[in-house]
Amino acid sequence: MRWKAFIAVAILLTGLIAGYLFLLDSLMEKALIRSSEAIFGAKAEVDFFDVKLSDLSIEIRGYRVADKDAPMQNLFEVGRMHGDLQIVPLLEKKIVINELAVENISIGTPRTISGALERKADSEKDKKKKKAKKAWIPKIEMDFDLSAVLDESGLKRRIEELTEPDSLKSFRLVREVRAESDVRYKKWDDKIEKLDPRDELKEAEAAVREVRRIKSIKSLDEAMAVREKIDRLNEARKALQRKLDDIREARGELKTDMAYFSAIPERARAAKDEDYRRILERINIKQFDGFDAGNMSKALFGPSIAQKVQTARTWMDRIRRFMPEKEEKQQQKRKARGVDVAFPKKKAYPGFLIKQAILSGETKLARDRVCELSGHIRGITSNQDLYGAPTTFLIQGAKSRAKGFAFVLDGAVDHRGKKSTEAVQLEVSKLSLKGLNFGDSPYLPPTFDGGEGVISLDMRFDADAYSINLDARMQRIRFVKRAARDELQNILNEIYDNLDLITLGGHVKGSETGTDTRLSSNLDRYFKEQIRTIVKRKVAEAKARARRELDARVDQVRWEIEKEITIRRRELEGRIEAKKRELEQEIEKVRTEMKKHQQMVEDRIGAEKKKAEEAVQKEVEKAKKKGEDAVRQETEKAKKKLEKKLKKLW
Amino acid sequence: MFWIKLLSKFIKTLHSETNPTQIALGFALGAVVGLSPLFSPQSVLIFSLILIVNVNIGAALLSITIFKSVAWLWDGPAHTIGSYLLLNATSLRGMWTSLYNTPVVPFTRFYNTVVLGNLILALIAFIPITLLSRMGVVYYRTHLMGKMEQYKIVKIVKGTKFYKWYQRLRHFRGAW
Repeated sequence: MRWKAFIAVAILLTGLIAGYLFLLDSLMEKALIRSSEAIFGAKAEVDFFDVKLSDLSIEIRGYRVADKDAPMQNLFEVGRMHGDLQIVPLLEKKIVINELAVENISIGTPRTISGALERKADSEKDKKKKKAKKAWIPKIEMDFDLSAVLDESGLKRRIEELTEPDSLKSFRLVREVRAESDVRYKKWDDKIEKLDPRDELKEAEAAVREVRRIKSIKSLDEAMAVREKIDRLNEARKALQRKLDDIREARGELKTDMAYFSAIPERARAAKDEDYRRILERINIKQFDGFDAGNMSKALFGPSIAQKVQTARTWMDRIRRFMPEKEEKQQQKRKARGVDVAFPKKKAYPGFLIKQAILSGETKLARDRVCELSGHIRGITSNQDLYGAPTTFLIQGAKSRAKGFAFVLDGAVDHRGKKSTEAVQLEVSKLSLKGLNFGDSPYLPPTFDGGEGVISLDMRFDADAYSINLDARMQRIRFVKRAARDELQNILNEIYDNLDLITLGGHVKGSETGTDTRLSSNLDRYFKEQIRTIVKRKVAEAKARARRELDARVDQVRWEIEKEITIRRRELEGRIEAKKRELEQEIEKVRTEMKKHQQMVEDRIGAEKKKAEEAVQKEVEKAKKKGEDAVRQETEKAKKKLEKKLKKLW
Repeated sequence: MFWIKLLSKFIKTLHSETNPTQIALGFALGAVVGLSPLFSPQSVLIFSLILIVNVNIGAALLSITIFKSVAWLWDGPAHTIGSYLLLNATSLRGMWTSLYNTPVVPFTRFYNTVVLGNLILALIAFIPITLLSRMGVVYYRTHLMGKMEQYKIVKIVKGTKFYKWYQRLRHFRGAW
């Protein structure tokens, strides 16, 4: 036995105890930081941590926990916490604080360095957990995608796509008409060429020239000769007439043929209407026509509320993760080496317990709002089953300077037994809305510029199910307008200018199997009317744009073709008309000449006839006289003979 | 460096006239400390015993170092033994509960399966380790020490300041 070694052992033990006590502060500080970081998922810091064994007191100053979602600001900061440790539990390796005073809590204070924790790559198990959690997140979607109708550029693009010439029936028709016009023009060009009366005209001209050489008719023979020439002229005239008839007939046919084109505008219009209807169907404009804004409060506030529900649920998950596991596993905790098995006895203290935390002092809330805070949190423990009571809290706040603003937050976190339940009630009155964020909805203003609100929130989480009731009334509200980037923004700004009151009632109920969200607000009706007006106008604009695009694509080409057809028709008709006119003139000339020379012939014949008649008359007279003389002589002669006979008789 | 010093110290102890039983007991107690959590009450207690009782400290230090380095090899069987005793042996539950709620005892971390298993293993192996160590020391001194004296390394070790300091300490301790 080395008796002197007792001195060494005593020194060793003293050193160890001194070292342990010396390290106790930093060990407890590290434990606080580690557990805070595990709960809040962001950096936790402590400026000062002191455990005094002389009076078994604990004092913590400058306790800060960063905001996981905004690493450059603190989720909360506690100016000072102090309380008394119990000695017996400490010897049992348990931390039990009867009363912890928590003073000067600040929320949302800025940080100089990021409070984000270095993240380890997710294991497969973590990924599965996240996936399961994601599946749980309530999905609140708009009944109607307003952006579809208000997305002017998208709509414009779609209309442009749908009015591509190849896909338009009207455009195809116009192209067919152009081809048909070419074919018919060629046909008529050839036909008019074939109707050329040059030969007939030449013949007639020659006949006319020949006739014109006759200046006078002196004899019947000459008259007969002229008559022959007139007959030739007449033949030429008849040929001309036949040509003229052909041309007249062709002109009629041309008119009939061109009637095909006169129906084109009507057909094009019908085809365009058909195209228009098809375009509207394709861009599904009908759904906009019958636009029903649906549950606008769900659409407007849904995503924001879903986000808040998700945040609440995440917090509950964090709290639950920090609490020990249920049933028999509760007594076992896996360590780096082996498993720690707890053997608590009834009425023993849990490993960690703050019986009561008293909150007091001036609290800085977000946006530099200061309020007087008071309240308590009871039963903060690592083992509620052992402690036998849930964690409860009641926190009240009232704004020091401005009268009116107050909030009461109370609730309970009960993880005893097999099920975990958490209940939180929040009542806020005269909440200044100035600067309050509205969420990411493009249809809502970014923040409030003024107004005040009364909010009543009741949340209850029961194992995997939850139920949230919200009642909010925001009045005398003003908004910070979004920059008017487009017409929609102008309209929305105008809508919000006229909005003075928002009431919102909500009930969100869910579990792993699904979410049921019911929201109602005065905005339902208000927005429905406003948006309906906008939608109606937008629909009309979309229709007009579709019509304009269609007209622009089709009409331009159609007009060109119609113009071309008109020019061609006029040209063809002009050509026919010219030929007709030429023939008619020639026929008229021939007729005149014929008439003139016929007259001459008739005159000559008349003269000759008269002359002949006179000669005949003369001959007749002469014969008559000669006959009368002969009759008289014969009569005389007979008379004498008769007289002789009579004389004889007598 | 630490290892070399520790080893040279142990070799010198072997080459000295130290009682083999003291060396063996030192080695066995060191094994218990080596298999217990560092700075736990049981480690402090046994280490104090090493200092107080007339066992070889060098052998104990070497044993602590060796067993601390390789303790993880026993984690599997230690966990099995610890799990059986803590979770399955219902007759012991009352004792564990009582110990668990007794001041200071929880600092021994007896409620950890590996810690309890290692302690049980160390206690079971205590006598065999003592006997085997003693036999080993005797065998070494009888058969191997003469040959080892020839090795240059041993001569170097003997010539070091550390060895001389150790000799003085031995002489000083002999006076206690």
